[in-house]
Amino acid sequence: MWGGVDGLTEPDKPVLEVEDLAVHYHGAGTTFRVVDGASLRLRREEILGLAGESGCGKSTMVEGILRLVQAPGEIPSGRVLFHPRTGPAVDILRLGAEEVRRLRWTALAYVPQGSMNSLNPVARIADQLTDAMTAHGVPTDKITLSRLGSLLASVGLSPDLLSAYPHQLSGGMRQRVLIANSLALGPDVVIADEPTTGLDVNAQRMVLETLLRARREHHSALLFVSHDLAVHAELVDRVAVMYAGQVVELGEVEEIFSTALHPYTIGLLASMPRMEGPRKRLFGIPGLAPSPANWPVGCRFHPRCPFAFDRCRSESPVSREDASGHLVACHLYEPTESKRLDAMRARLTLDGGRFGTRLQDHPV
Amino acid sequence: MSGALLETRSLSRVFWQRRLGRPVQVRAVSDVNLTLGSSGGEVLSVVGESGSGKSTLARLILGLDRPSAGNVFYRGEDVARFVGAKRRQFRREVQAVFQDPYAIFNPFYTVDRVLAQPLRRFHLASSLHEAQQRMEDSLRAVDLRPRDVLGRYPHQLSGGERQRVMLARLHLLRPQLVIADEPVSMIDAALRTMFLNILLDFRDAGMSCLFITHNLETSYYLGGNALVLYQGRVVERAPIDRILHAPKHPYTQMLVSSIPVPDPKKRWKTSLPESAIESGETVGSAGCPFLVRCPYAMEVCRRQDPPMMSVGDGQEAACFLLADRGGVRGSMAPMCKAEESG
Repeated sequence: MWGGVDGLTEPDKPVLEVEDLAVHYHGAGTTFRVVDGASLRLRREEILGLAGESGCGKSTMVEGILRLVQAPGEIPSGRVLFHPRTGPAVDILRLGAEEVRRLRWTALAYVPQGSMNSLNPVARIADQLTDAMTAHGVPTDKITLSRLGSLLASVGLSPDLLSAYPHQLSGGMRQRVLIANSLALGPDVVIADEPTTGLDVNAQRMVLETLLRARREHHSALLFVSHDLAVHAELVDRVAVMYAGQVVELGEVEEIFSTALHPYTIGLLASMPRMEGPRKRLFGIPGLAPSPANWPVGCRFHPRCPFAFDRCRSESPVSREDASGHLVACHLYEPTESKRLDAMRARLTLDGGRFGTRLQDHPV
Repeated sequence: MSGALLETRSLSRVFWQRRLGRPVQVRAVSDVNLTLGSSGGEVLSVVGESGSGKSTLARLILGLDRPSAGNVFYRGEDVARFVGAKRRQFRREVQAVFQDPYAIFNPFYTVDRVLAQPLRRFHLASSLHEAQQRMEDSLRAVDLRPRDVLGRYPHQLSGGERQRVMLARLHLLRPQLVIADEPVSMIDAALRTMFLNILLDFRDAGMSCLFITHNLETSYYLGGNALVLYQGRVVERAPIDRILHAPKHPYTQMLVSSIPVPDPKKRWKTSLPESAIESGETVGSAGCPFLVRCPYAMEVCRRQDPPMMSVGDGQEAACFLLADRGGVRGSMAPMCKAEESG
């Protein structure tokens, strides 16, 4: 395993640490604080899922990490520490443009959202893979057909496809070509933004299996962005849940699905249709997601939270971590609020996990 | 004439494409028969992957496209022949909900228009005051505050709010039948739940729904019957519970086994064979459409189109494996989740 290279073999050793990252956009006389104090830590060779509803800042956070934010956007604060396999950690946000360019693809690879539709329609797959490699400094004589072929093989595609054009491939196959492309230079981290969205279930399953295989064969860590919790359950080791530009909960995937802590996560899980057990009515999270131009004061989830109390309306909760490393940012988990926490748990048990209520019943 | 609310008979739609300079026939919808009963409150899901002909089927039923063969009957009358008042009544009673919450608004008008226009057109309110009242009631029913929405332009609303306005429109019109084409695939979990609950409420009040989706979890939630479409053909039909828990057609089995289950303790233990997604060339006029991807293809599947075969409990599938009973169920085991975990 790679951990042995510099003698450090702690399994929890981070490869990427995001601390208090903010990404703001300016326009129409307003500042949109799309990502606003988000933190997470990606461990070497782990698959970390980033979940949350659309508009919560998942994609923007990824762009911030990769320094892809362009005007009128800016990164006013935060740190993104990358730990190479050897040598000291670097803060990506403090690097010069050329240094960032050199890190991309070799250390941090990116599969953007919807990119399976961005392959060049008039170039063969082999040429497109070659282009990306030469652009990142691989000498042409080092790019052999057998190297490209084994790259495709590592994502479960036949090397015969090297001579194919994108239109000859299905959506799932194109997505796997892009994953192969991102793995070409053996990056420490792959960031994939909604790679299965818009795919049919079979193709989606194939892409998820490809990502697992990529981790196994290339030893890359993966930051996997998806709004679909069921997909996280199938793939990731840990999940980070984002709400209103912040990470509100982070924990082992089994723990998130068995004992989610944050009321928002509980609500998300309660609104998933399940195909096992008795069919029961689901209850969504009441209200609408807030706007990044005007986040609610205090806890940003409080206007939609059925368990909110006075403190939530004025004071933002700080993220706290329990012994097993499960993080949550919610006032209910502060020692002084244990009675309220018990009350919430009792209410959830009473309702059989039913969360919230419909604000209005509408008999027809 | 039967008493069905909606019925299609041998409905087909053929498109002509030019491939390598030669015209090629593409059967988007092929010989589809479906029925929604006249008693109301029925849900029928049409399930299939992209390219299976789901959306073409929706367009044919809505009268937005003409069938190449076969007919669509609404309350026993051919939809293609509707004109004038009949057509207007059909437009009022049968409402469509589409996937994209962004494309349905005209950016030049305030969102009031999508609510006010049907009220005016179908004479649903006797006064301006009543119209306003009904619009506000419907907005509140979908968790929107009328003052946040009325008088605004589409770009001033978030995606979630826009989709809710479309739901409010449904609430306002209370149609007899909703044709929902992938209505929840672009919205978030919380709103999706609300949307499905509204459909359930309307169903309980007698509205029927043709629910077109690639997402089997949501059709399970709605209940009712389902039919599985593959390359424009119905390959299996059954109550949705049977489709999910005892699928008979190899294609349905493959679909069901690939649904991600929201439980990290029940992950896939085997990988999907590559042939499962290889989109093979369409088979000629004879033969099973699933032939290329089917792990059990037999000689007879090449020669003959499998007919629908009943397996009891209101379930039928078009597969020769069912002709001699058995066979399919046990041998598909490695791909089926339920059997893995056991």
